[in-house]
Amino acid sequence: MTIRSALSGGFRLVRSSPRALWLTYGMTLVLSAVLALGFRSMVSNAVGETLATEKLTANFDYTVYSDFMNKFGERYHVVSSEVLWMIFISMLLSTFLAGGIFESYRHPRQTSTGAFFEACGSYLWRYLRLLLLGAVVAAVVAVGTFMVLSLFYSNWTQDAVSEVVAVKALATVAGVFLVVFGIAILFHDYARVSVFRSDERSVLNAYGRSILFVLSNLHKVLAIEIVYFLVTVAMILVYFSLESAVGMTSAGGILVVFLVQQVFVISRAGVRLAAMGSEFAYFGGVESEKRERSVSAMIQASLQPRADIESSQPLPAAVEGRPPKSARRAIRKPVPTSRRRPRGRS
Amino acid sequence: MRTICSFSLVIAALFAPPRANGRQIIFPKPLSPRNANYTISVVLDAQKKTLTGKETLIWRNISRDRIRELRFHLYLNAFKNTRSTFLVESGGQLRGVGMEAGGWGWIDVQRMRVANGEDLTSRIEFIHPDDDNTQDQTVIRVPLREPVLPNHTIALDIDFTARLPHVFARTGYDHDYFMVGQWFPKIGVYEPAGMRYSTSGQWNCHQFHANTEFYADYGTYDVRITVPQTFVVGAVGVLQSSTKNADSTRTDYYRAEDVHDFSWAASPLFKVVEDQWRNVKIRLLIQPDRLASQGPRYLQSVKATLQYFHDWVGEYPYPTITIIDPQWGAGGSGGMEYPTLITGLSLWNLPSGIRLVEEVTVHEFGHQYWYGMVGSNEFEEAWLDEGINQYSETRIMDDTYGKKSSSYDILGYRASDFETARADYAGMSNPKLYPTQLNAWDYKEGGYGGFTYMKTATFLTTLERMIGRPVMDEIMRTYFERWKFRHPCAKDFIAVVNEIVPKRLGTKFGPNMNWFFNQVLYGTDVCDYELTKISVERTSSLAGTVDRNGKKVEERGGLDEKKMHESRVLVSRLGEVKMPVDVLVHFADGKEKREHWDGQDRSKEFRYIADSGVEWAVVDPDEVLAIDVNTLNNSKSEDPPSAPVWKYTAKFLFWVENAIQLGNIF
Repeated sequence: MTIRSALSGGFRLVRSSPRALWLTYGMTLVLSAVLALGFRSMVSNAVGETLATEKLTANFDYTVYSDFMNKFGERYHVVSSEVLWMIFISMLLSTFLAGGIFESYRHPRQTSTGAFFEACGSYLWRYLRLLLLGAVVAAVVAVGTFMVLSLFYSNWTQDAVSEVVAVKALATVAGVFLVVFGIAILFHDYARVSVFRSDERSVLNAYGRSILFVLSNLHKVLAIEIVYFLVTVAMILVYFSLESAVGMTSAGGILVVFLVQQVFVISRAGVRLAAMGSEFAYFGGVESEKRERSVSAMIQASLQPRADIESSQPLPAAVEGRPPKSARRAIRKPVPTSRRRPRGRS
Repeated sequence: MRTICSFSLVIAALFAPPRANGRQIIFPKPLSPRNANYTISVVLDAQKKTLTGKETLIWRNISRDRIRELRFHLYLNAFKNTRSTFLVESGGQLRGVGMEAGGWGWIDVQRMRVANGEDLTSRIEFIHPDDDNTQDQTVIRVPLREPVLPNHTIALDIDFTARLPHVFARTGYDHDYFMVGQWFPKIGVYEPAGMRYSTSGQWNCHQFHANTEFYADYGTYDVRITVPQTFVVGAVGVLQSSTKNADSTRTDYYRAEDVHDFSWAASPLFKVVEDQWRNVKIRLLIQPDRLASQGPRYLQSVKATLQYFHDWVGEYPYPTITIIDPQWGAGGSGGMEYPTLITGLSLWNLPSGIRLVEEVTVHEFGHQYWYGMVGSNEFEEAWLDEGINQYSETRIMDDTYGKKSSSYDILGYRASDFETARADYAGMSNPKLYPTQLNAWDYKEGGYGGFTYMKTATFLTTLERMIGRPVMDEIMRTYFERWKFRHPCAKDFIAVVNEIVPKRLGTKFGPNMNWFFNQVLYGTDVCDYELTKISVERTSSLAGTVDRNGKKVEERGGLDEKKMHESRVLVSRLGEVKMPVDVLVHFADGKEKREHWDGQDRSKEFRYIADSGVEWAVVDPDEVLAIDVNTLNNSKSEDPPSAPVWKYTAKFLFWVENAIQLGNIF
């Protein structure tokens, strides 16, 4: 499985699963809109019928901003502090949607709404446990890495007499932190794929398997993530240049930039889903390559002439057109969860 | 050829600065009383971070009193231990930079004697005139056996050793970078009766407090600084000579005239950039990594400020200005002023939209006028130098770098220097906590910066907008000319205002401006005017009997038609500060009416019967009252704009969407 095929696979899967994209974007929009409308009411109520805000239409006005924050800053902080709750809720909703998204990746253009949400429900409990496990691992990795890198940074900059040293040290430790933390996130991402693809019931097993998978394919899984990171950075740059080109200086400009913003948010959701798709494709590809390799190895092994076998003995089954029993077990594909009989039912 | 050479020598000799005793005379005619003159030799031990100095002070009694004791500042003892008044008050930090463990600093006077006379060392006594802190050692008194008679001088030889603190507050070292300020035994100011607020002769020699800076008499400084040969030195004054010594050290001799302090910096890393503005030699000592990106910013901003002050207030008489760019880790020494030497602040590749370099350079150079030449008392009336200088900074920054973007202009967010200054005052948690006229060490609950720097800049801008810039400029020029190389106090500044304003504007603001300063300088109240209410009701035109040209006329009007509009505009004074203010009333048919209100009462209603109703109204439409702490309530409209609310709602929505997407990494 090449990086290129994983990437193209990811984008192809997103294109073939628009439902996932709209659900993800819709979830983000609705959660944000709840806060944004609260924000709007708060601002309208606070500024009342003043003309001062007119200065904010054409440009940013620091006096209006600072007077607003002096008088109504606490109200603003009440609204903005709710963002953390929205992030938490969106994490739960994303966890819920993950099963459906993978289901639609497994059957591009063929997953019905019912099957989508059935898959969402089937994997929810496992994915919630996985989320908890992943969050704990990521937190431990983040704290541990931070502590180690802090020491490293302190040693590096201890005798620094120029901020250039500090900037280099900071860039290095930030880069290392991002990579290590990113790997911890990848453990969780591939564990989710692993649970789905192999219908693994134990999240610990899935997580362990994912760790092995990520570490044994580290350069490729990282490369995939870096590509998506760069795509996101490019999108941000495009957004800012568009925003400054259009400018929110009139009602029309505000509307156009609002639309550009939403296109950006949709694109970011698309990139995230594409990353999930690439992980899904890459994991599947590598696993099937591994299976194929082990099958061929077994076939090769079975074709190998052995000295202790007399030539009069019958040929192995594979030569007669059928793989041996062990190889047949290996190439048997896992049955999709949604189509499997729920556990505990007869 | 010889003839030409001889001629050149004659010309050179004619135009060369006069010299006496091998040193260049900077001002043939003294600009100041020069009653505190120092000759100092100091050796820096770069390893031990110590100074070993020999100082000769020639002090002249310019009062009519017989002076029986002398008082000295030993500023470096502020860093001696945790019991010093400075460290108790500051909590071991200044402007966000904390003291490093083990980085103590101190100064010992090892010997003090009258030149060729009595040894005074045993008479030295630590005193603490401002508080009861017996462990503070930043001021000493030295009783004299023989008093110093009026207009007589006393010469003292003082040997001292000092250890510099690890820099966190103005002075000290970091690695091999040394910013040596407040470093030598320095005599206080004797204030005879009638000078400033003195009712009887007394020493003005305060302890070193967390917020306080400096106050000293003018004089000459001849300072020989010995440092390792690899070090680059920048100092107050003019370099006279540089001599390499046999022990791998070098002695640089600097002379300064008509200044009241001396500081110097040394580091082997400094890169030196020299430039010129008119006759002023600009010397920038900058960190190597910042040379390319920040060097031009320093030079451009200091030249712009030199020009601005020259055009606005008066001549910068000194032949040099030295700018020290502190190294990374020594930021605590940045943003500091000394006569003819300032310390800046910069960072490698700092974006040009963040005008930190310019702001600090403009501010610190401004102190050459308000502190350097106009020698007010920073301990007791910090607003006179920091506040007036902050006002100068906002003017220069806004006029040079943009009215709405002089402080920063990056990623669509921008603010002017004045806007940030005003916001720092208006946004204080309690802008009524202290008056601006207060000893700097009495801001015990904080707010020193907000009240002395920012409120002063804000009320001086208000004054400027009330009386007009030309009158304000005349005030500043007069104040400078009258008080340069002297020690003015608040009442001297107010006296200049009270002299110029009636002269130029008559009694428009009353016989004097005391009412203004009583409120904004000595008072603690805030200014807040509000456009409280606009109401418009339909009404009929005039009906009934009307006296017209001595006759009774019957006006039919239209009792039932109600074609006219009766509008009421209510303006209120929410704060206690009373200022005259204008109100602009805009009618639906486009007509406008400007009202004037003396602002004395709690509220004022303006009533109109017109064809059109009032559409919107603004109190203080020209934004004269910069000191108004809330501008949001200064206007009201029947049809307020909705676009800004939607604009920021869209931005907020986008911000939350991105936060959710960023947080959604699992």
